[in-house]
Parts: sequence; C-alpha cells; structure tokens
Amino acid sequence: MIYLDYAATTPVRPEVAEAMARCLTVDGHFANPASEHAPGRGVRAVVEQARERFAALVGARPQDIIWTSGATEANNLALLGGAEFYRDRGQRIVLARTEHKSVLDPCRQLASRGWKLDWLDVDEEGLVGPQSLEAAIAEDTVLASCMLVNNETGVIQNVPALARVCEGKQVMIHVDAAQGLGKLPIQCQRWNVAMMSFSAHKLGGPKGAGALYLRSRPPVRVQPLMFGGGQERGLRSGTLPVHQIVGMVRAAELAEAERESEFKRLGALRQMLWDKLSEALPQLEINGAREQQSPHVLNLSFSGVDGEALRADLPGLAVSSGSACTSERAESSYVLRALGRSDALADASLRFSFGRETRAQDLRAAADLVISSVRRLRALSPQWSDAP
Amino acid sequence: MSTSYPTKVWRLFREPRRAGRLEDRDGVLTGRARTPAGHAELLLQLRLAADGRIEEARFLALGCPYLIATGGWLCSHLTGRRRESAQELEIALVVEQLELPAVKRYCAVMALEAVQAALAAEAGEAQTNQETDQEHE
Amino acid sequence: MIYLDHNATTPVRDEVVEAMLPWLGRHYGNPSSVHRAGRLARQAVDEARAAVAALLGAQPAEVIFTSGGTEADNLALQAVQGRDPQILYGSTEHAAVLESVTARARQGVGCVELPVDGQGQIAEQALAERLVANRPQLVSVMWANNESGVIQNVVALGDCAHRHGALMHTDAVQAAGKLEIDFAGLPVDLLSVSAHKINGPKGVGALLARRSVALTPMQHGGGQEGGRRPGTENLAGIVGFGVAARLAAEEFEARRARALQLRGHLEAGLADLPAVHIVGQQAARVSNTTLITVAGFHSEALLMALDRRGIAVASGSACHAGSGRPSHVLLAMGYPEEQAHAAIRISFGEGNTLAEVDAFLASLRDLINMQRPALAPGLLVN
Repeated sequence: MIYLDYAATTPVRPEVAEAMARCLTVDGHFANPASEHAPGRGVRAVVEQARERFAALVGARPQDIIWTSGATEANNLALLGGAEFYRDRGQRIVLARTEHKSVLDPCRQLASRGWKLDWLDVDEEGLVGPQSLEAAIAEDTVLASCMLVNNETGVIQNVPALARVCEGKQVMIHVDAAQGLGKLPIQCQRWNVAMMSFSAHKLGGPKGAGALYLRSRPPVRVQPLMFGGGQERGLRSGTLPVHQIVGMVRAAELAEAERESEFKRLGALRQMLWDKLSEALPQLEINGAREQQSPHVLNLSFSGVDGEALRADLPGLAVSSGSACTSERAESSYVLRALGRSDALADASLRFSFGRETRAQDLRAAADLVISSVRRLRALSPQWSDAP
Repeated sequence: MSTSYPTKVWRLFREPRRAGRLEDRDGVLTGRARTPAGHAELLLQLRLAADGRIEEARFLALGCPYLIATGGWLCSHLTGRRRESAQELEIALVVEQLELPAVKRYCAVMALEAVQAALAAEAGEAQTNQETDQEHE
Repeated sequence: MIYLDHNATTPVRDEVVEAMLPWLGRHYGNPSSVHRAGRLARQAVDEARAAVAALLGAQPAEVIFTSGGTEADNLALQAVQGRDPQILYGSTEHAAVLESVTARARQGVGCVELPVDGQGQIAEQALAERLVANRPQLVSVMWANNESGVIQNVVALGDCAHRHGALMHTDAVQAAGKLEIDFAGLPVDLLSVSAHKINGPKGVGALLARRSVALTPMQHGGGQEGGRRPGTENLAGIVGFGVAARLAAEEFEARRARALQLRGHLEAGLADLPAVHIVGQQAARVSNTTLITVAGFHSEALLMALDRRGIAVASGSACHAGSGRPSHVLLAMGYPEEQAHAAIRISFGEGNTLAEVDAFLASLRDLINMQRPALAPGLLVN
C-alpha cells in the first residue's frame, strides 16, 4: 500500500513513541501530575516543561496553552466556550465556508441556539480576502474563525492579515491550525490571534492529543466544556495524559527542526506528481492556490470519471477524497464546491497528501496507478471524447 | 483484496466484459440511460441477428463500480436472447444478480431503461431515457 | 519509592504498552479513512471496544470512547434535556460530577444533593423521598468512592430510580476491575469508566450508554462514536484500554485477593495506632482502598513527611491535591472539619507488597510518635 494520506493522519515517529513509552510504565513518569507526592511533582514538571517548549514553538506564553484531546476538542472549546462566555456581547460569528467539520459543526450548534452565522465565501483558489472578512463583520460580531491550512486543499490563509482586520473591528479570531503546525512558522502572539487550535497526529505525534492557544494578554476567555478536577486552570478538567502531551511536543519539535527543508522537499515532490499526472492525463484541475499553498497536499479533480469508481479502482493507494472524517458518507466535498467546482468534479477528486516518510518512488508508483485507472475509466465512459 | 463490493461486482468492475462500442453497421441499436444531472450514464449497443436474436451487446458506463458491473452483466444477459425476452428484463433480477444495495437500485433502473431505449431505437439512432428517480443524486 | 496511590493513577502494564506501540509505529491509519490503513485502525478500535464491553458486561455498541472518566461523567449528565430538568446526585461524588452538576445548575438545571450516612452510603429511602419530591430525570451516584472506597448499592438505588422514571448514571471509575459489573443486568443507563485506573493509559475512558438514552454531544464535528463524541480516535490509547480491560477481566480474582491481603495487613497494623481512624469501615468498600484520618495531623504535613520517606499516598482526591481544602467526602459523611483535614488515602495496586505495607506502617508509627510529641499521651504508641 502506498500511503499518501498524511493530511488524515501521520505515522508516529519512533523518537516520539519512545518518549511516550517513558511516561507509561512503573519505572517511568506514570504518576498523576495532579498528585502532591514526589512522583506526582516529577510528572507535573514534565508536563510544564512540555508546555514551555510547545509555547516557544508557536510563539506563545506557556500559560496560554491548554492541553486537549485533539484539535476537535480545541475547536469546540474555542467556539462553544468562547461563544458561551461572550454571549452578552453579541451572538454573531463569521466563518469561512471551507472550515473543518469540527469548526462548522459547533458553529451550527450555536446557530441552533440562536447565534447568527455569517459565511465567508472563498475565491476560486480557496482564499478568504481580508476585505471580504472586513465586510462580513457586523456590529454584534463576536468571533471569527478561519483555518490556517485547509485540510482538503492545503490552501494557506493569510492569517496575519485576517487577524489585523479582526483587531481593528474588535472581533476575536480563532484559527484552526491543525494542518499548519510543523508546516509553517506559527506566531500566536505576533499575529495577535485570540485562539488557535493544534493537533498532534498530523505531524508525527499521537492521536488523541491537541492544544488550544488562549491569549492571556489581552485576555480571551472561554467557558469550559468539561468540569471536574480543575486541571488546566479549570478550563479543561480531566487527568492530563502525560504521554500524549510529551509525544505531541516531541513531534512538534522534530517537525520544527526539519520544517524548512521538508517544505522544500515536499514542494518538489508535489510538483513532480503534478507534472507526471498532467503530462499523461488531459483535463486535470488543481484544487488549490498558486502561491499560498502548503506543499503537503495536492488535490486534483479528474473530469470524465466517477469519483466512487476512481477511489474503488485504486485499492493499493491510500488517499482521500474529501476529508477522512466525512469519508464514510458519500457526499461531494463542500470545500471543493466552495471553490466553485461542480458536484461531479468535486466528487471526482483525490487528495494526495505527503509527509516525512514519503519518497519520490512512492509518488511515481502512485502516479502510474492513477494514470492507468483514469485512462481505463475514461475509456469506459460514453461521455469521454478522447477515448482511444 | 478486501473490498466492500460483492465479488461479482468487483470482478466485473475491475475486468469489464463486453465494454466498448459496436461497429456502426446495419442493425446496431443504441440506447442510453442518463441520470438527470448527467453524472451517470449507461450506453448500450445491441446487434440483432436476422432471426431477431441479440447477437452481440456492448456497453459503456460513466458511474460507480455497480453501474459498470451492471453494464457488463447486462450485455452477457442479453446476448443470445430474443427481443421479447430482452424486453421482459425485470429490475428485481438485476438487483438480485448484482446484489445492489438500496442506494444503488438506480443502476438496475438504468439497465432497464437502456434496454428499452435500445429496443425502441431505429437502427443507427440513439434513444435516450432520462431517468427521473432522483434518490441517488 | 513505595507507590500506594493507585486510585490517583496506575502504572501502565508492560503488556498494554506492547500492544500500544505498534499503533504508534507501523500501524497509523485514521479509523475514519476508508482505505486499508484506515480499516485496520477501525478494526483495532472495534476490538478494544469489545474488550471494554466484555469487562463491563455490555454490548460493544454501548461503549462510547472519551478522553477519560471526567469527559464520560460530563457527557452522562448531558442526558438530561428539555424543560425544567432535575438531577439528583450523591454528596460524595467525584469532582467530575459535582462540578459538572454545578455548571448545569448555572444553566438552570435543578440539582439536588443526596446525603450519605456516616459510612458514606446513600439510603434507598433517602433516594426514594427525593425522587418523589423532585421528579428528577437523572440520578447520578458513584459506584465506589475514590477517596473512601465505599461502595453504593447501585442495584437498589438504580431500581429505585427506575421505579420513579429517572435515568441512572453511575461513575464506575473506581469500581471497574475491582467489582463485578454486568451492565446488561444492571438498573443503570449510563456508566463511566477510565483506562488509567486499571493499568491502562491516561487520556482515554468510556461512557456506557444504553441505546435508548438520548445524549446531547458536548462536542461537534466529524461524526465519530456515532456522532456522540467526535474527534479522531486516540488509537493507541484505545487499544491500550482494550488490553488493560482484558487483563483486568482475566486477573479479576487474583487482583482482588491480592488487594484484600494487602489491605487486611494494613488495617490490622493500623488497629494498633489509636490516633488512626479508618473511614467507612462498617460499609462495603472496594478491595484496594483505605481512607484514614490521623488525629492531630494535617494531611498535607503527613503527606509531605511520608513523601520524604519515599512513600506516595494521597490526602484524598488527586484532583484537589494541594488545594488545602478539606475532603468533601468526609464532610459529607459528617466528620468535623478538623478531621476532614487529616485524611490520608492508601490505595493498592499492581506490584505492591506486604513489605511495603510494613514500611508504610513503620513510617506512620514513627511520624505519629516523633513528630507530634504534643499529642495526647493516649495516642502515642510504643
């Protein structure tokens, strides 16, 4: 199997797994970090050191980092918790149409509680213009949400510019950076975002670990989703999963160390895959941006084939269509439709996503599989005019 | 290879039989069935022998693996049959033969419509049946 | 280091770590992906689900994986809906229920506390009276108390709740692996468990929920766990939870016998220390837990002194460690505040020995004698 689904999840790096294993067993940091005894204090120090290191990686203060069970929880805490806390200021949220489900669904939940959602259209590259954000912000808008890197297309939003717009309008901006961490330099404070969500398993860390950046100066507040022992300053109760936190931070550090070289390497791989496919197959379309594009995703629409047939015809290739979280349901991608793709083209799309273990030969083999499959299916189609 | 498709469908999808077009000589009947938005289409071509039997059948399909498999199965089923027998094709049979799940029932409907369109067509002219059932859209 | 704080958390068993590592290595699919890597991961999640269900006598489909016991408790309380809902809850519940109830109360949910007796137990009669008076939608009573180990009669209380048309939730975080649980036969609709209390990893737990119960999810987006708990599954953690659950089921009797032996030895030794009082001793308690108060001591001081001697025990719940607050469990049981400040919890688990119990007893005896010379002469021991 050729695994080209790094935007869905990534292999945990061996160094990360080793660091995690040291926090599990009786001879390691297994104690409860909330305990007062020596083992508990030792583990607490491990967690706090991890927090400091993570904060440094994303340009934040340590006290602004809240550990969560993943980006989904971080997004929910930011949006549901933020909305709940600031409900008296206004009940209006502005968000892009191409946000991840874990942003859209909490916002829809808020809509069912009476909040007004203002949807930001994206251009054909998938980008949100700062002017359209500015225009969409109303008097009673409290929150804006825009992702850093789109999970389906790899399009990079201009978060600093969007954050400036929000600052001017006194709106808090939340950024889902699940796909951006480890790929782009992130500066929470300098960008002046109010909240930012992170995930571990998109960059070589474990599943079930994430974090929310919650700005303390000037302060942004949220209502907790969960209550209990009062961990994470009462904002996220529950025993801290030390091994998960340690694994997440180790993975983020490793990714940061290689970030620039990997960015270049993946960019070259992406170009190679595109060249190979587009030379062999007419009528391919890239779903993404020309400049503001993360190199780890290449999303293509193949006209003249059926999406389900194409996916079924590539059993040896682990790629996605739409995002993994929704792939059990057969609906064409709302992200691609927001870019202006027809239902058929949105459905006949594949997301190739790459990572640290991806090699050129993987992409060459993948390209061969895709080329022969698309040719075969086009030849079967009564509508394909170039059929040999 | 584990797949969520029935073995027969998988085989007919991966190695389609009787796919392609018939040479456009006398006696070739062409029928099409299309979903309203045109996302899926089944094209069926039949060559009738002098005695009215279907001598040869070919299909082309744009659609999911079930539709492609349906096209292949349909051509095998029709070959050697008389026109009247072909006309009696029932949806239930296609559903049963291809183990079509409820959401894929439209493949059987399209098979039926393609057959009817082909048999209603004048030789050399395609007849199209637009499928109106929208449940799969 | 003598670790006698297994109710706070437990070390992960080697077998569990070994089972987790492949899912932090060569297997890495997203369980929601439809390709082979994803299906393999889905299968692993389903196997773990079956193992957790088996430990608790439940159907796999009744298991909702969460990020831990706290989330499971919070989610359980989301089963109350509609206009004017009421929740009855035990006064000695874990903070995850108490704080969650407080939050629900702020949203307008009527929340009524159920008192416990001097042994920490809720009388069926007391529950019945409040069921009649308050007509609650949900009753939440923990099965085994995390501080005292005292066991509630969940069957009688659940039957009573059901007779009055209320749903029953039980926080079984400290009961799982220590008490036999047969969810299928219990008058319980919702049951919370946690992996890290049964030698599994932190950051994973489960809520058992009967399919008839309408739960409002706390988080949205992604549709995992039947939409009741979205977010990419904590794959390695869930696999670890499954193995920990299987081991807990297999070793159930052996662990209980071992814990009872250790605790019997401890409590026999404590009987020689007049300053020490054992909490809930007349009640049924889980096999591994002893909660004591030590007259004349503040638990923080005692904890630190024991800590310097390399013994890790707790003053009560780890969640409130260092808060300086008295144990709410002891206060609810009617202990005076001073005594509630003097609680020490000893909880046994994997790897503890009789020699460790002796070392603890010797240290405690020392501390009582040496560090409190001002103590009443009758409480000193020779």
